[in-house]
Amino acid sequence: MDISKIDYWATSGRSFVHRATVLSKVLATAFVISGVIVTSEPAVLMGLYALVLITVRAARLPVMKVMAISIFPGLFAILFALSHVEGGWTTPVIIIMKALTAASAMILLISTTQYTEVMGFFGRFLPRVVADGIFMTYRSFFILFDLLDHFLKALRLRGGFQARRIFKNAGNMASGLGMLFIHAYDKSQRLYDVMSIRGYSGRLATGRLHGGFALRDMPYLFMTAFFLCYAVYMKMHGLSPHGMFLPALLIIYFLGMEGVWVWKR
Amino acid sequence: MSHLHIPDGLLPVWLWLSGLVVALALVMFSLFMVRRMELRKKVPLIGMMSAMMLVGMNLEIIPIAYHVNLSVITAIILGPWLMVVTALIVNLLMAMVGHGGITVVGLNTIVIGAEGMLGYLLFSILKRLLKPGPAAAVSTVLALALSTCLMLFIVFVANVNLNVEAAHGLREILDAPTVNTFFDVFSVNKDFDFRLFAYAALGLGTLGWSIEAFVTAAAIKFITRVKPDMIA
Repeated sequence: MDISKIDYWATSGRSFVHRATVLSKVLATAFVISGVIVTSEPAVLMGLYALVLITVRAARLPVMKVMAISIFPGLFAILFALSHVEGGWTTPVIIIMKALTAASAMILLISTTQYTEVMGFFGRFLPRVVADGIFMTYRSFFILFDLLDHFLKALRLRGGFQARRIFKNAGNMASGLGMLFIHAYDKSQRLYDVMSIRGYSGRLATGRLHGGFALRDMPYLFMTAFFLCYAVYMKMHGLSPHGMFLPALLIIYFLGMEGVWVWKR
Repeated sequence: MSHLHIPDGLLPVWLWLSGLVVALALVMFSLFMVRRMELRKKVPLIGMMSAMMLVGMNLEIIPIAYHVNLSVITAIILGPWLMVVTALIVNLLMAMVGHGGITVVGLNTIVIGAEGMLGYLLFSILKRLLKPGPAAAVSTVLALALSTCLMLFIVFVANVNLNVEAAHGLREILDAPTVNTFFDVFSVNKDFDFRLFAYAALGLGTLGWSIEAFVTAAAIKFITRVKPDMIA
């Protein structure tokens, strides 16, 4: 999990995927996740995964790094998959494919959309305290993470980490976390004071949700909607994907996305 | 290991939907319980404590891919009701970065919320009998054990199938409940080796609980020395 890197990608990216509307990206992500829920066909899952990765590439994000981040929470999925080995290898492969596809779609959403916009969108469906808490959390995370980083450096420089003294090192580290908790507590009180002076009355202002769709929203949105419909159709009729239909479609999508990139440059 | 890192699409729809409904109800109930509190004053604190949990979750212990949750210490500082709100916030943000599915947010909120609430409850009792450090350690181990069992229960329930044809005989079950008839209606997914899953989760979990208990105890000990009013 690397929130700082993801945040950097979201704020520094200038691709047309970055500039697509939040609504379209949230909808497309919902379509991918619904597709993952509906289908148990390895070919459709691989198609969805490839679709997400092609869009990651179109957003000019580092594909390998995004894949690595999506694999990180995979331990539990692997454990879950290994528990299904008795029925053959198809089920474990499906489980891992589902994990990778859904995680990659979420990472694509958050890496191409600024957090204020994403949280603002989801905050509409949550209680006020939770929505405001999410904003405060995201903001505070980077402050605390920097503090932890400085603390660890200071600990190393002052000999707080020594070889073969695992318990002593762990104790120092835990005390550091304790100190960080105290710091976070004090900071939250100062933050409240500052916010009150600036007129905070229990309601944080969030960005307006831009309605409607633009042309640049369409490729990813259309493709994910198509894959979802295809997965539902296959499931309802008990069919399996055959031939080169999906690979051909994905190649056309890839060429189209690369073409748009070259044209825009 | 205590919360579900299960991605989207693996759990049955009825299970994660019920999880979302129950979690939302739990959050609303928690907010009702703290209605006398001036919540706007607490929002920055909730944010900071959620961020602390996220920082803890970022510190991965590489060989076993374990990370501390810091849920018990957060509950001790915030109280059990605000802890539930914090659990929802943390799980939502984690799901955003692909760490656990977005559909599993509800179930994870229940698991981590229960972990924090039990930890808080145990700490409130044990701190009268033990020093704060050991009290926090024992509370953490027990709370994590409970939440891991809860997580295992969810995974088990996810693999129980309802045999619809046999379920038509529900009248007979009610009239003459026997073990055999019950298992005709419900069956466990034969492809799923629950024992293997449970051993692996509990094996890794035990190591993780010890690490988390140690970290929580040392941090609580430090806090009680430097700023004891934070815990009171």
